[in-house]
Amino acid sequence: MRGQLLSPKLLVIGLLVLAAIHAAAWAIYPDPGTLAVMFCVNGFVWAMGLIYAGSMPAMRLVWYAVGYGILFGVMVVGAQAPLLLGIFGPLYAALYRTPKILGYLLILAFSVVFIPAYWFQTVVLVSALYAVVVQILPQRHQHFAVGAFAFGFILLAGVLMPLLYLALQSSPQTLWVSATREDFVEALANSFLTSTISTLIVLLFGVPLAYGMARLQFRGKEIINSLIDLPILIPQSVAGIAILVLLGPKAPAGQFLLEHFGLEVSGSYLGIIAAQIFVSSPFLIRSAMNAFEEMGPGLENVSRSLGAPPLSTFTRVVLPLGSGAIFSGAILTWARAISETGALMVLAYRPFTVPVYSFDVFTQYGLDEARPASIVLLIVCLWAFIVLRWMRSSVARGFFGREAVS
Amino acid sequence: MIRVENLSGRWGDFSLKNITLSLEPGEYRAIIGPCGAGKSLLLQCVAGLHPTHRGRIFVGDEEITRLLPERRTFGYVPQEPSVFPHMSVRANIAFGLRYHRVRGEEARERVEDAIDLLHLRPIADRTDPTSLSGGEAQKVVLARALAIHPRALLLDEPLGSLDYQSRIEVSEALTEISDELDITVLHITHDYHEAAKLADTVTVMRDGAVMQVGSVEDIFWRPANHFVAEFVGVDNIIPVRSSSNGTLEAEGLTLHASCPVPRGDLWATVRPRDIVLGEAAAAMANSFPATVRQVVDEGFVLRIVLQSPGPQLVASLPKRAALVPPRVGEEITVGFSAESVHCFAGEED
Repeated sequence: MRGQLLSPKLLVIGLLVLAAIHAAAWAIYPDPGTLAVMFCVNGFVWAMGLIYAGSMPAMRLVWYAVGYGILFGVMVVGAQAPLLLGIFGPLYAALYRTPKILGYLLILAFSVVFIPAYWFQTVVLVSALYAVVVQILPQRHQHFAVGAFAFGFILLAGVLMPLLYLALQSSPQTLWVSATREDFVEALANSFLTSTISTLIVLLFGVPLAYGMARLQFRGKEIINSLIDLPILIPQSVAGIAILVLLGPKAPAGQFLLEHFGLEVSGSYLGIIAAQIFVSSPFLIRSAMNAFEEMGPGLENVSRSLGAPPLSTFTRVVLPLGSGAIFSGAILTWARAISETGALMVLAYRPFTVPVYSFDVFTQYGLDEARPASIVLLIVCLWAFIVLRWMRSSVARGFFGREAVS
Repeated sequence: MIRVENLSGRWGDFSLKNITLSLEPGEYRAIIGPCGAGKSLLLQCVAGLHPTHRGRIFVGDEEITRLLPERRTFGYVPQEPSVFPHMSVRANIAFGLRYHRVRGEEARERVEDAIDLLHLRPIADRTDPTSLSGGEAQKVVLARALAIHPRALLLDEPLGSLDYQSRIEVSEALTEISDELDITVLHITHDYHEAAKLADTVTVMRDGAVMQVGSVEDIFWRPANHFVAEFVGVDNIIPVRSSSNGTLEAEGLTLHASCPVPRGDLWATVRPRDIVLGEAAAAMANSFPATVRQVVDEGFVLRIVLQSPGPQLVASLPKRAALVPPRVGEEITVGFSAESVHCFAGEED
């Protein structure tokens, strides 16, 4: 009996009772417009309740009433905003039959009432959590894992909150103005150029290193293994200083570069790239190494015994099979390179890259000016990251993958 | 064809102890043994994938001990599934050809020949080999190995990772290959059924040493020692002592054997299927009463555990329509012929 009104008589009686209550409320709340809205909302909820009464078990009807009571209490009594109930009340009543969607509605309602300043961010984060929880909740044996996930999600929310908040802080016009400023565009181009070159150089040396590490067993391997991760450990400023000390104008190596090649490391593209390589190399090496180790020597052995020399085996079997992981590693390396700031501030403050540029704007003009530049970099990096991740699954396979029939 | 001389060495947990092996051209040799026997290691040494410290390896008259794996021209098939997942079926089969200077039309022919040989026609046009079944994939691997016209096939547990149906499929393909091409095969397995089915000759290995070499007949019916007997699934291994009149004295039982009986402490074996129960047993060379201890239904056969006056024996009774199975606790006459008793010397394993 879906959608069937339980009894028209009850509906009329209920509406009359509601009319009487709202008329009585005139004494403590003399606002005819609001009272009219409230009457309509309560009437609608009553009517829907009668419809549900025809098809729902009694317990769910009780919950329907309790839920509405809470909503009413929160919005009218708690937040003193009866008109909000004018929006959420009917939605609640209409959606009660589909509790999953109702959940999103409640998240929205409570965020708007309790955390008005951050309601949008709260809705995004809590809805994401809710979407996961709702999927798994029917699997009773997984409840502990759901609890663990929900608890740990606080950390992720803490990370995402500032980014979400920042992203909504400037109007599109302001963003466009700062995104098209000449020095910003130049910094952006610098960032893309240098981090791409850095990634290519890391690829050139990192992949062979990872392969050797994955295949060879030797004394001292553990030491080299931990040295690979060293750059993650070292403070960025220290990294910058270390490179400057080695390759700066006063060091023999720096002088050699300057005299013979006219290359200067401080304040140049060379410096930027050197710093980016330093901080970002572990990501690629680690990811490629894991892939090569996981692959095992089995297929290589087959390739060798079929007659392929080591280099052919590497290019025809090992690289194509590792390309996915190598690509992932390269994306992380690229992302780390483009976001590097600390070492660059020591080593190559100029030419500007975007992170240093936003810091520079911040120190000179303050937060209001630095914000749009930061948001644009955030958006650009995010999209580059998403596009690259997508390419990892589709392009990488087609690009390295299929070998033509000979 | 393939000759291994005094191969020794230790690699991690595995070792080889003075292994000598000799295969005739066209011979199908199975190497069986439990896990950790060093079988795979031996095969990898022959394939050139492991350095050999001591010992020499020959193909015909050519010594290949120091040759790189890509120069040995063996069809090596490793334990794990090894179709190249990023290449089409045809590209897989053609993989090795360019390194053997086979190109163009000739290469195409070789690929098609290999496809026909292994009956891969229905799947030859697949571009994504990850969609192949285990058996199909293994046949592609074999086709790929055969396309380079190898001097021998080196198979490391080629049926190991397959389900029952695929095993039958691939082992039929192997039989066909070795019959049609007359190629030398070295086949590693821990499954003696597989060896019995496919191989001409068998080497039994254990802890890096050769325990017995011989025909399938030799290994299964005349195991040289306790370990081999137990490994190939001989159920009744009875400790006996030879007496001066040529009989074998077990505890509480005298056995008559037609085989030559050496002096001293020995082991005697009787196949479960050779043991006859009931009235027919009374007339046999070895005949005595026994109590039925246990009857296990194994589907097509009944496995019957018997307590003789001496040792415990296992008999195997094929199930037939009108069979009245013996009951536990029943007294029954047990018999077997003198020919079915085999004996050998040596320590208990």
